[in-house]
Amino acid sequence: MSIVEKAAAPGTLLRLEGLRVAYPGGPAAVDGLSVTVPSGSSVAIVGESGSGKSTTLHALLGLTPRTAHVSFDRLEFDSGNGSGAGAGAGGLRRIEDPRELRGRSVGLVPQDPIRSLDPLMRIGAHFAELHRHFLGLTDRAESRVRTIASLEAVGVDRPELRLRQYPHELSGGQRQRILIALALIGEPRLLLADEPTSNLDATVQRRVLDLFDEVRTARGLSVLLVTHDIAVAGERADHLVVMRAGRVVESGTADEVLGDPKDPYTRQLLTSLPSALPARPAFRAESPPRVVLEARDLTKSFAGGRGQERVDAVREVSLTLHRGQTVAVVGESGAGKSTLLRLLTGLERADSGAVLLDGDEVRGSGGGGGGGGGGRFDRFGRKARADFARRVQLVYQNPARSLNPSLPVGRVIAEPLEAHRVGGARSRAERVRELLEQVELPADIAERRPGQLSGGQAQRVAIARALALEPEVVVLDEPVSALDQAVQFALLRLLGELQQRLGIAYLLVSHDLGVVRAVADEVIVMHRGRVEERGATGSVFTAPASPRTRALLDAVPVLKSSLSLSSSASSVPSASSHDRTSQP
Amino acid sequence: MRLPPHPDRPGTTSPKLSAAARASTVAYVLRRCGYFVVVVFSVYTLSFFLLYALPSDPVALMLERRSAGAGGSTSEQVEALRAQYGLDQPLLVRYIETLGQLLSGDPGTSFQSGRPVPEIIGAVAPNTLGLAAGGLVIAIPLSLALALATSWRQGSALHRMLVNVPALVAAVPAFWLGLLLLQLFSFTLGWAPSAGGTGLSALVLPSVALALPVSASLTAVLVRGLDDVQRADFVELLRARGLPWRRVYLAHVARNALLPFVTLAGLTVGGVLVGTVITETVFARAGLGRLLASSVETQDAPVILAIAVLAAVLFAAVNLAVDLLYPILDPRTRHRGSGARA
Amino acid sequence: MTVTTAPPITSRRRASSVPVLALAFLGLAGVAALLPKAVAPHDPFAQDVSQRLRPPSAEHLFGTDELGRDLLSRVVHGTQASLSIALLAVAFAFVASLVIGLTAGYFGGVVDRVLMAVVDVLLALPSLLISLLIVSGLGTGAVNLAVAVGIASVPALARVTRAEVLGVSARTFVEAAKGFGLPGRRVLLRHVLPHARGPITALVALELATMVLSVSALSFLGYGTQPPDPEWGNLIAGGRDYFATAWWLTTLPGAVLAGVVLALHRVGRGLGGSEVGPA
Repeated sequence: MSIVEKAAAPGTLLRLEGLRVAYPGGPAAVDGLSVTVPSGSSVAIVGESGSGKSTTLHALLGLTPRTAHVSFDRLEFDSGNGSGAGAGAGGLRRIEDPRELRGRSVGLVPQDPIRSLDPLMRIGAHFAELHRHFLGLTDRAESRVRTIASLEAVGVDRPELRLRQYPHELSGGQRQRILIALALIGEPRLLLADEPTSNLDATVQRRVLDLFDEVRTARGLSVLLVTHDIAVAGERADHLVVMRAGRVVESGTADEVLGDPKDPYTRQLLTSLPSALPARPAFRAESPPRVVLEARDLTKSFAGGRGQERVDAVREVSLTLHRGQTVAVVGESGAGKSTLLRLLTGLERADSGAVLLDGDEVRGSGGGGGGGGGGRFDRFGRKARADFARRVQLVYQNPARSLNPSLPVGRVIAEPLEAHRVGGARSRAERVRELLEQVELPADIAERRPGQLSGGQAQRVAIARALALEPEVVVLDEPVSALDQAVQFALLRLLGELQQRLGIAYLLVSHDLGVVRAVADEVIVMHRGRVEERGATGSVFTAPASPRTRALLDAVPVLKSSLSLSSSASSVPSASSHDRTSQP
Repeated sequence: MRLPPHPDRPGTTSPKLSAAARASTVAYVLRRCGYFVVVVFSVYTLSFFLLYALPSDPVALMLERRSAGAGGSTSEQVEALRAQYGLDQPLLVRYIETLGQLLSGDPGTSFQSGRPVPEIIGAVAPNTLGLAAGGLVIAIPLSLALALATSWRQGSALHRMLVNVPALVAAVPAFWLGLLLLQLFSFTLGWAPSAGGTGLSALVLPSVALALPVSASLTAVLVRGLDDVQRADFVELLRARGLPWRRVYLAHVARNALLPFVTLAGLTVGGVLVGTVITETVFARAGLGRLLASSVETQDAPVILAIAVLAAVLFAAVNLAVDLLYPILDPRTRHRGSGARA
Repeated sequence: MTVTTAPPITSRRRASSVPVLALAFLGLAGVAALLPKAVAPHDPFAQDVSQRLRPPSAEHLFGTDELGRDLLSRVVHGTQASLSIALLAVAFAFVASLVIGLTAGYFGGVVDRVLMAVVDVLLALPSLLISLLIVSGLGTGAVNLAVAVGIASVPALARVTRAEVLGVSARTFVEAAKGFGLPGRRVLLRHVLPHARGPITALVALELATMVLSVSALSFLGYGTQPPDPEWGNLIAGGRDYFATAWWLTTLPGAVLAGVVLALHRVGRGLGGSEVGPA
């Protein structure tokens, strides 16, 4: 299944046919994959976790572990003898050992910029090493000049300063730019990008992807992008290759694939974007309004490094959450979202300010002295603690980690009931069955251990546990970000239904603006611990008042697919044009 | 690989911050030095109370041994001896007095021989230092070479084979290993003198016996470190850049793995010094280790106390040196002043 | 969220199947320790001067010593002394370090700082030195030796226990359990301990091996079981005087000792621990 047969025509940079990768004792991780990259274009391999897309990329450079069995029918690469882009036909050369491609032909930009630089070497030394290797350049001054030039080319500010810094002194975005510059030293003709932005904030992500485009056009390179995000792929690539379970299910130009997907899996990917969720009715507070959770001027600071000032993680943040309402907190990493969430759930104590539950101040939530590791609410009695725990529950980002792996699911869900001595053994079992039904899981799952569940099932179990005590508020900490797209979609839908049925209020923390837009009534945008902007979701998304909010919104990739209700910035999603019955 | 300083370097950090960083560095050094004092003092306290507050009576034991040939001793003699060694004083008074003596450099006299402790220790210390140095000279290069060879290719047959060697050596009792070496090289092959003796030839076999157990644990830790670093993302990326493996392994993997290894210096020196207790007994060499062993048997408290404090000073000094050096070796721990250990 | 292909060879658990041979050998040693009379071919104290210093033969598998006693029988009877002292030491060390480690790891704060400061001071000293100090205070003998060896390994074990408890406590499901209002004691018993148990069990096997080594070393130096009662360390020490002529007197008891230690390492590794290196 190569992209198009005519790809063998002049202008093909890379052609890989029949790639197979298998690990001992497992099914093939990649099974008969073929991909062709035309010169000067960008190709994206899209797939969910476990689809084999990363393995493909590793195999292409001979980086798979020794135990893996790798084979391919044919691998060809046009090393372009001296001429630039659009080298003539016949440049395509058969490659026997993929390791030949490393560095000079193919430059890799890794997934995680934080761990991809040697922590003991200054940035300058990273460049000097590759200058020596690729160019035989041993002159330090010359290497320095070149390094500064290449840092400038990828938009790193103050390059002279950066040379002398260590990787840990730079931000993720800066490191990713440096990694791109490093990949370019060998003057490769193809850049392999392995989820290059998935560990970066949305705004940084957009700038880094823009840089890829710039570099590609300026140098006539090709880019092979591996990503789980079909929106990013659709926005950035000319050709798409959709993978599932080690096989290519569909490939073609981006317009073809997005405009007229042939494969049901591709269709599902496109229709399970959060923007395809049923529209929420406008939120109208009950009269009289019932505020279930309220925060007043919460402030929390942490000790910085030694000899440094304290860092304000959260500064004077107030919010109100009504019964049945969803309030989302968004912002880049370091904006104080997580700290705010921990303050609101009592896992952390505020320096000043108060948390009010149903209008009553939660004693010990603000002010007060230190406490040890076990010291949640240790200044006040068990009763108050128990009361708070009953009414505010937290659902964590990583469902697998938030469930005790050694207890069966039934016990996990019943544990809050036991902790609060609700009912007897029989009524608890009954309640567990009821809760499993609510989260749409089969009853027999109660016997299984968390390790035997899929990510989506585990998160449903976590939600069931959170609902066990019939709380008024459920705090959702990036509840779907660890899940694949289709699973995300189904879970968000479930959360919406549960809210309507049970009248729970959600406090959602998410970096995914698509999710926020689809499910929140009100949005709070945080920046450096402060509230930057707040308002009804529709108005914040359509007419952001703050430039920072605007930057966040601009960073969301826009999908040009006829199938999905893409988040064009002018319309609030409405249910009218969409039929939502075919969700598996 | 250090780049020459650039003439017009723009301030790396703001002046305010670097002043704070300097202050924190000073605080860090002071804290480490304070820790050194605390360790030595605690060891003194612990040893003192173990030796003097526990039920056994050193004077009775001492008299029993001294007068083994000359009949029993009278209670007057016992009292006189107790007074001579200050044992009639209350425990706390003696604790403070002994501390004062130690600080002024006088650890007292031996119960057993009646000779001043510094004289006894000074007589045998050079032997032990020579042996310990020999042990280190063998152990460190040996474990480095073995670890680098083991970890060179992950998952290779060589790796699978060599990775078990340290575990095997660690399972062998050190004293038995010494005896086996002695049996093989002295009695069967006749290559080395069997016991005692001076000079280099007599030092080789004991040094090897001392070095092997220490090398086993050093190698194991180092191999684990090398294997871990090889799994780091930056190593994979360097391979993807097409750099030769030799370069990646030596310049990046080994360098990163050796860093935590440095923190083991204290344990290594400690292991070697304590190992001399066994080695010197097995090879019948005079030295601090054997002196300690025989003093423990005779409960010669002043000698034991002096050796324990001396050992504590040595170990704590090595650890202090490592703690002070570590921030220089690892840029990530600079300006932070937190504990240097990884 | 692609998971890069982690090298599968690193999985320790998979690499280690059930160590049948090691378990069998330990079983044998266990039987010898419990019922030495049933296993030993001869009386370990029966002297026979006509049979002195005989090399290994069908009659005396391990040969005889300078008094004509059967060495195999003495090694079998020595197993009891060696293993029981080591077990006592392990029991002592584990109770002490579990209490210290759990308290420090779970409660944190000042309690943790004080306890760990003490532990750090002790860790700065090699454990053999601590054992020697304690032996010189308590005097020689089997029980004193067990106490000395046990105490000497408390600091390292307490550190490991604490780290394990901290590691488990930091896991999200423990925070979740605290979050829905489970009292601290029950969180500790139900969520923290069961997960710290696995690594700690592996540590018991490995620590037992270390203790067997330490006990025999101190016995070798003459601080443990006194002759004529047999114990591995003192058997080897006793053989030193003759080892120019009678190699079996030191070599064979030492081989049994090394075998037991190796087997314990193998089992410990099978349970997920790692045998060498500072704890």
